Amino acid sequence: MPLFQDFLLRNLLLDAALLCKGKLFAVAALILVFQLGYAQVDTVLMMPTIEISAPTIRTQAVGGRVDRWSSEVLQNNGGASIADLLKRESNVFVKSYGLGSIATTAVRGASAGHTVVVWNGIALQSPMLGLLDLSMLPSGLMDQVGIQYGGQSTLWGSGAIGGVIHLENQTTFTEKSSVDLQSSYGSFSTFQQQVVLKKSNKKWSSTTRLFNQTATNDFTYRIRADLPTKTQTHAAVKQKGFLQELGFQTSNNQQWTVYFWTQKAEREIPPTTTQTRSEAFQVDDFIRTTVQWKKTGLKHTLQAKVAHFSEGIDYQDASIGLRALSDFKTTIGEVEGIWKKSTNTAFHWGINDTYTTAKADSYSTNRSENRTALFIALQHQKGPWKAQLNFRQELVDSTLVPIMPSMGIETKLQEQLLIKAKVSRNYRLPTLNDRFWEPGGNANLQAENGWSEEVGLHTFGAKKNHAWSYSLTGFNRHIDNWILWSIAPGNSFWSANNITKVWSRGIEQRIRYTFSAKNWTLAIKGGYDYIRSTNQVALESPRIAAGEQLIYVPIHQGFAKAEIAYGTLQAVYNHTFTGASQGISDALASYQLGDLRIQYRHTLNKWDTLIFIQANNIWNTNYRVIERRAMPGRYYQIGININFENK
Amino acid sequence: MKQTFTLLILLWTFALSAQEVVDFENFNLAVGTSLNDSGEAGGFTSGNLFFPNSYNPDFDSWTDWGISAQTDTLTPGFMNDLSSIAGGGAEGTNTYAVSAAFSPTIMSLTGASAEMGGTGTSAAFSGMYVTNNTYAALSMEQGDAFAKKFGGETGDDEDFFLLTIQKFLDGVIGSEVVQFFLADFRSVDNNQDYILKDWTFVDLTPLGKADSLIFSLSSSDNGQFGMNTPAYFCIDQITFEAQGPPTSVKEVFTKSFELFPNPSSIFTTIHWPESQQATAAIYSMSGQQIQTYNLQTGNNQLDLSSLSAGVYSIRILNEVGWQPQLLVVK
Repeated sequence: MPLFQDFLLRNLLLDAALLCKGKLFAVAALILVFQLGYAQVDTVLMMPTIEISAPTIRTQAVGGRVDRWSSEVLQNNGGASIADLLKRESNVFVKSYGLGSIATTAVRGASAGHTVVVWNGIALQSPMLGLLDLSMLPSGLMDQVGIQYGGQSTLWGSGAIGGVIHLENQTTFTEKSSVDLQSSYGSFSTFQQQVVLKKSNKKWSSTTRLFNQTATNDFTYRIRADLPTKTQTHAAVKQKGFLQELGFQTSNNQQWTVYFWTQKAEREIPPTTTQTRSEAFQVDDFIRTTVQWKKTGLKHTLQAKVAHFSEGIDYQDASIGLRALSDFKTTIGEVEGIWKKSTNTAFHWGINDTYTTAKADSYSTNRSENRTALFIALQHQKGPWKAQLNFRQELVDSTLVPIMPSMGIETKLQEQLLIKAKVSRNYRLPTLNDRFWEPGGNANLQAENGWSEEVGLHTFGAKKNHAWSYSLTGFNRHIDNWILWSIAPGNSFWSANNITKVWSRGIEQRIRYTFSAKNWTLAIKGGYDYIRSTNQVALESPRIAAGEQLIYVPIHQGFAKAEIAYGTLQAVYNHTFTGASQGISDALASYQLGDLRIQYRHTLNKWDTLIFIQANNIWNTNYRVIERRAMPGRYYQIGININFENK
Repeated sequence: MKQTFTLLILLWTFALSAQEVVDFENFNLAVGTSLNDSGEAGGFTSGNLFFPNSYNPDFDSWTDWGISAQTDTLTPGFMNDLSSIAGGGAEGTNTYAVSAAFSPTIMSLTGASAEMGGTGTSAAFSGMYVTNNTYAALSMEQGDAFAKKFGGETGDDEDFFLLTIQKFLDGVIGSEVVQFFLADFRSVDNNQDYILKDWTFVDLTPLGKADSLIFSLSSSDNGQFGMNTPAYFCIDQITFEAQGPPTSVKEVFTKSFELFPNPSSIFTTIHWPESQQATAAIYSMSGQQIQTYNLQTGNNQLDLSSLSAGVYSIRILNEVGWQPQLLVVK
C-alpha cells in the first residue's frame, strides 16, 4: 500500500530512486584550445592574481578528461542555469521536468547521485537526497564551470563516480571596479535580471551578485495533430538569489575569502499530460557560507576551509492534503596542503570533516552523520610522462569505508598527441534518506562501490588561422551494491536495498575547430557519445531484465555548436541529439533540438553594451525528456547586458 | 424424542443451508470512520467470512482488507484510500469492505461454516456488490503524478481496470473465472468509456462451490514498478449459501509459509522455516499438478520460467496444516 512517504519518495526522489544515466561532456573555452585538459604541475611560482579555491592537482587530476567554460560563456547563457548550459554544450543527460523545473544530471551512465557538484572546493549535494538540483545554479553567479569526468572518489569523496562539476568564483586583487546589469524578457512571461558589482584593489576584493527570475511557463503544446492545443497550467516559477564574496590579501602570500550565498526557488509543479490538474508546489531555499584561508609559498601551500550550509525543501499538495518539510544543516571543515618537493614532484594531502544533521517528516527523529576523510595525492613528472596516485580513507560515523585508490597517467606520444589513462575505485555512501526514511530506510545499507577505467587520446593542432582538436575516450565502470528503492519481496511498501550491479561502458568523442581571419571568427565544436549502461541483476521491482539498459539512459547522444562572429556581432547555433530511452511507464523517442542566439556588443569608453535575441527549440520539435511531461515548442528571449568597468 | 431430534437435525441442516448475506454492519461503524487494524485477530470477521488484515503502526499502513463507513468521494490521493466512490455501502447501508490488492487478496469462509464437520466446508457464492475505491476512481478520472488519467493524453487510449475473481476449494484454485471491469475505456466510441461509480452486483455463480475467493486487479497502465493504477476496490453484501458437510475432510490451516515475490515472472522464493525437508507442489488453475520442488530449511528459489502467465497455487505435500498460497505468474 502506498503511503504518504512512498508518494513523496517517488515524487521528490525520482532521481535518487531511479537508474538514470547521462553523459557529461564539455569542451574547453575558446582561449584554451591548445591546452585541452592538460594540467601543468608546476607553473605557479608566484601568487597569481586570479585565485580559485581548489588546487589543480585535485580539480584536474592527471589521466582524466576535464572541460571548462569561461566567464564569458557563462554570462552569455541568457540568464539560464548551469543545467541549461550542460544541456546545450555537453552530452550530460539533464533530466528536467520542464522549464525552470528541478533538473538533475547524470554522467557516463550513472545516476544523479553519482555526480558531485563542488563549489569553491566544497561538495554541495544534499545529504538527504544525495544529489543537487542544477536548476538552482544560475550560470551568472559563477566565474568558471568545469567538469572532471569519471571516478574521482579518492579526491572528492562519496558520489564522485560519474564525474565532478566544479563551480568557481574567482577573486582578483587588482585595482578595478565594475557594474554589470543584465535584464531579459522571454516567452511565457519569463523575466530575468542580474546585477554584479565588483570592487577590488591589491588588498581586498568584493563581488556582489543578485539575480531574480520569474516565469509563468504557460506554453502551449500539442498531443496529436487533430487534437486542439493544450496550455500548460500551474507551472510558474520564481527564483531569486544573492552571492557575496569578500577577499582579503593579508600579506604577500596569504589571503582570506568569505562567501555568502542565499537563494530561494518557489515552483509550481505542473500536471503530467495524463493528469487533469496539479496543486503541487515546492519551495527550496538555502544559505551557504564558507570562509577560506590560503597561504602560498614556493614549496608549500596550505589551505583551510570552513563551510556551513542550511537548506530546506517544503513540498505541498493541497489537493491531497499533503505537506512535507525537510531540511538539513551541514558543517564542513577541511585543511589541505601541497608540498612541491621538486619541479617534478608534488605531494598533496587533505583532511575533511563533514557533519550533517537533518530533519524530515519521515524521519522518526532528527538524524545526523559525521564523515571524516583523509586523502593524499602524489604527482610526478618525468619527461613527457606524468602520473598521479591518490588514496582516500573515510570514516562514516563509526564505520570505516575501504581504502579507495586511484591512479592516472598522461604522456605525449607525439608533439600533438596525448594519451591519458586512469583507473580508480569509487564509492557512494547511502544518503540519509536511504538510511533513515520511514518506512523503507535501511540503516544497514552498504556503500555502492566499484572500479572504473578510462583511456583517452587527445590530439590537436594549429596552422595559420586554423586550430583544431579531437579527443576519443573510452571508459568502463562497474558499480556493485547499487542502491535502489523498490518494493522488496514480501513487502507492500518501498524500501532501499543494495540490490543490483550496473556495468557502464562507452565511447566519447569530441571535436573542435576554430578559424579566425581579420574580423571574422568561426568556432565549431561537437561531440558524440555512445554509452551502454546496463543493469546486471534481474529485478522484479523495478522490472528490469539482466543486461537491459537503465531507464532514462539514452544510448546515443550528440551535440554541436557553431559560433560565427564578425567584429562584435556574433551568432551561435546549438544543436543537440538525444537518442531513445526507456522511461518508467512509456518509452521515450529520440529527438533533436536547435537553439539560435544572435548578439551584438558595443563598447564606448568604459561602457560595454550587449543586446541579444535567442530562439530556443527553433525547429519546434515536439519532444519529451520524461514521459508524460510536456515540453515547450519554439520560444524566444531578448535581453540586454550593460557593463561599466573602471580600472 | 426421536422425532424432535430429527426435527432439530433438519432445522440445523436447513439453517446451515440458508442463504447468508455479509454486509459488514456488525462492526457498528459510525459514518465517516473506518477500521484498518484488526490487531491480534489477523483479520476481520463479518458473518461467516474472514478478511485477512495486518496493520503496521510505525508506518500507519494496512494490508489486504479494511472495513469502512467513509463517505468521501471527492478527495483524491493516497490519504483517502478507505472510501468508496459511491459514498457509502451498497443498498443504502453504511459499511463495506475495502481491499488493497497489490498482490491477490483472499476472503475465506469461517465461523460456523468452517466448524461444520470439524473442518471447513464450502459455499455457493451467489454474488456481491462491487464498486471502486475513491483513491483509485479519482486517479483513473483525473490522473495523478504516477498513474495516468484513463483515456490518456489523447482521450482515446483503450484503458481498463479489471477485477478478476477466482476460487479456492480445498487448497486448489478453480479454473472458473469471473471478470468484472471497474473501468472500461476500450470502446472506440469515447462516449461509452466509464469508470464505475455505483455499487454494481456481480454474479459469482459461475465460480461454483468455494471455500475462499481470490481477488486480483490488473490494468492497462503499467510500468517498471508494476500496475500504476492504485490497487483498491470495495465490496459489500456478499451473498452465499453454505453447503452441507464436506465430502472430504478438509485440512485446517494454521501455518503459512512466506512466498515472494508475488506476482513474479522469473523466479519466486519460498521461505521454509521447518528443520525437516518438505516437498512443495505447484498446481495450475485447473487443479493439475505441474511440478514439485524440494524444500530445504530457509530460502528456496523456484524457477518459474517454464510456467505461462496465470494464477497457480502452491501446496506443501507432505506436511499438514500449511495454508496453500496463490502465486500469480506474469
